[in-house]
Amino acid sequence: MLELSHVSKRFGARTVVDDVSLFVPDDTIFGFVGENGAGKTTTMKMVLGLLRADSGEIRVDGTPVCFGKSHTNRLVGYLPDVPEFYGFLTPEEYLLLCGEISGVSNKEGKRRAEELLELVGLSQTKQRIHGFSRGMKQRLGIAQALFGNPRLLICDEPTSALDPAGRREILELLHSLKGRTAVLFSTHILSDVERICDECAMLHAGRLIKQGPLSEFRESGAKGFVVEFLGAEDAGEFAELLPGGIRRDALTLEYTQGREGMQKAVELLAGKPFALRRIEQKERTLEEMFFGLVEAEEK
Amino acid sequence: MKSGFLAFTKKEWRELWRGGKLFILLAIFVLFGIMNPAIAKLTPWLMEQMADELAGSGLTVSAMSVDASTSWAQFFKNAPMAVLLFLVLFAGCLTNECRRRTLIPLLTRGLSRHSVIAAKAVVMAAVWTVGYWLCFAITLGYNMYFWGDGEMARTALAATFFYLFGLWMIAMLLAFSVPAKSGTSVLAWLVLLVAVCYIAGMLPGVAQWLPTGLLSAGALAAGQGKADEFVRAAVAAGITGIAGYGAAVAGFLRKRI
Repeated sequence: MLELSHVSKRFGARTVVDDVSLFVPDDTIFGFVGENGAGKTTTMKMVLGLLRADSGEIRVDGTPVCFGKSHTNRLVGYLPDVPEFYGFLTPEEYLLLCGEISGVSNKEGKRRAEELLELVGLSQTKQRIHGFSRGMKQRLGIAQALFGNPRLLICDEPTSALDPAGRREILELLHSLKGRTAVLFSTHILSDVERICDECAMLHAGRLIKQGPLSEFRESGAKGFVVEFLGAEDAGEFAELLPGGIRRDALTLEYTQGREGMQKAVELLAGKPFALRRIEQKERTLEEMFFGLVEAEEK
Repeated sequence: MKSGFLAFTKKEWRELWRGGKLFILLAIFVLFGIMNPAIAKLTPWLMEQMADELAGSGLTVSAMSVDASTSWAQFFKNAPMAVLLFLVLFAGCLTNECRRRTLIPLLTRGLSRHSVIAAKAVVMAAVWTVGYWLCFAITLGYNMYFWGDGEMARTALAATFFYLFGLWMIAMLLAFSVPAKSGTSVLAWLVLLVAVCYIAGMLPGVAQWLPTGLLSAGALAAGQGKADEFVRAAVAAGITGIAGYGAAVAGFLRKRI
């Protein structure tokens, strides 16, 4: 759906985006991760034709993006980090304006506006936008971004300015779009990516340091497993059967072996009637992985 | 392009209407339209009231005669003030949108940048056209009521030259709005432009080719000067106005938003 190949952007002497190549497949929720100032917004603005790339090529659904031109934007919906609208309009009027700009008929525009306001929970709101809270603006932002049934939805840190309840609402809303449109979702909140994304790319100081499906991130981040018993006797007996474990407490054993070690543990557990509470793979969180990669990049 | 332009133009009208700007502008033009003949009509009475006081200072007030030309002189004196108020109200029309980032969702939906400039130009030109000629018509109506028909050809031509000056200012406002960060900067650039034109007008042979020459169109209505002198200024305003609009479009296409 979206392809960036060797894209770079400089502001004066500072390189903000450095040789970034990435691919967002159809109908995927793609997390675009990086600390503030990593180059996420600049990359997105180049995709939208709002900024000119100094080098490289950007294609949306196979069509090259040209700076200042808007033809590829017909396929794209964009939700800015803090969306700003015309305060003198009601949400319905704003969506109808979006429809008119997209060349949608008045009847179809009204139908789409009603449907989208229902989806984002603003169908009962008749007040003008100037009285909206940040969360309401964000929800209207999603509705406007989805207005033209875009093939790609670009969300620039949609949750960073929201309170926990607003954040959860927006994440659930974005997750509900899975299978309907591809979503490129930039954030510096890594738990949000873990919650809703299928694929992820990590950006640091303008450079892409890792990308791929989230499952791959999880596998590469696996570092052993944990076995927890209901009784201390079982834990002691198991520690003798499978040496190498570290006793975290009376009931819990922690192993550093990988997948094969865990398979062996499962076989041993199946062989004897242990009173088991849980056995699970220990994973590094995305956050731990991100900082590990950043550290490696800086060395 | 067409659907985007129409939709954005509609949005501009709605903004003017709901923000109260349209009402304020029309009220200003109507007020000026009434003030021109009213001041002309009231001047003799005012002078009469002040006659005793002035006599004490050694000044003698003789009987004053006023007619439609006095009212038209007032019209051309007040018109620059109307232009200034008009420009103050519209100075931030593009810079505010860029600063508040309200254009981003619309541009990323496919609204062309040219449509943004074109819609703002059309709406400003329409408000200026309606407001200015409304002011003219009100003054004309009162003048005919108080003093009957008079010689109108030169007055209408002079009013048209001043109207062109307003359109030229709108084009310049748009051109300055692209690089400027705020409405105040746009106004400062416009003031600077007029000042530069005045200074350039001191050079021999240059004055007649300056669009700011149209500001003196009132002289034509008063029977001084020739229409040819203003035609040159009007041609210069036309050429530089079109160039200013073109620069606004070209600059906005390249602007980082």
